[in-house]
Amino acid sequence: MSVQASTRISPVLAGSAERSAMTSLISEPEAPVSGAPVYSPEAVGVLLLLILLSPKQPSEPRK
Amino acid sequence: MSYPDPSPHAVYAAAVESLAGRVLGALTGTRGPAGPARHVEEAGDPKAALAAVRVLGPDVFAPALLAGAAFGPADCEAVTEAFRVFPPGPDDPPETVWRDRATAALLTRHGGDPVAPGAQPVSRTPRHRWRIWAGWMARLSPLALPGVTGPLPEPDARAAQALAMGTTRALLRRDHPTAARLARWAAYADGRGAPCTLDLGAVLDHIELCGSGTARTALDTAIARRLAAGSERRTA
Repeated sequence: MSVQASTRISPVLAGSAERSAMTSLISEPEAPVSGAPVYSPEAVGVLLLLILLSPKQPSEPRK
Repeated sequence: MSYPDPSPHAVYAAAVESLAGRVLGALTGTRGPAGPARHVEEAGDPKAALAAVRVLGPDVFAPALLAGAAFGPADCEAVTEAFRVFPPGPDDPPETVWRDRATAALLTRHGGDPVAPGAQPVSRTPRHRWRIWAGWMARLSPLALPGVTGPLPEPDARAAQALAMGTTRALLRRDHPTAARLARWAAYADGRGAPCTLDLGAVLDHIELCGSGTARTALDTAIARRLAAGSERRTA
């Protein structure tokens, strides 16, 4: 099957939404947000809770 | 259960990835002849396949230009058909105009019918604003091919430095697609007498190892390697 035969089946002139989708793929901008690894202590709340709930430090027995 | 995104953007993006993978395979010799004609014929959505041909533009000729792969009449017909279904418009952004003109010129050179490439391309963004200029050049990376008239006909040391700074900035931002596009330009400039101040081999290794994993980025990286190897051969 030639290209002409296969592409004549459906492709009519592209509409504005299709053209804009194609143009946006051509003009891909640079990534908007850096994916650089930064320090983000996501578990800070859990750590704080564990510290608060942890048993007290044992004291020296009284003589 | 997840459903595929039916928006034209998502469908076309998938088609672009598919075609980029084919072009990459043809360039590296890992797949058989895979010009745009085969891509359109085998596609479930021919319109999306034609959109992919328009998006990659000059890159569909990369295997022919860099590896001597065949680009037959059916492939030319597919590119012509893509221009028929997605004709250039008067409000196209400048990078689209540049790419369309290059695609039309390559099509004619490979024996295809002439197509109307749209408006006259204009250069924008002065080079001393290297960050903006590098972003503009990244969007024009498909023009970094041998024998294609682009916005950098005679690269100089200043252009090479701006490309190196842009590549480094993109790497620091972990924007690997942009880094691959600019590394491609840096390799192109290197081959035209504007030596790259970066270790291009290390840059391309890094992008391959840590990159986005998309076929488009892999294609840019592979073309950059070809261009860099060509310039090494010329200087050896």
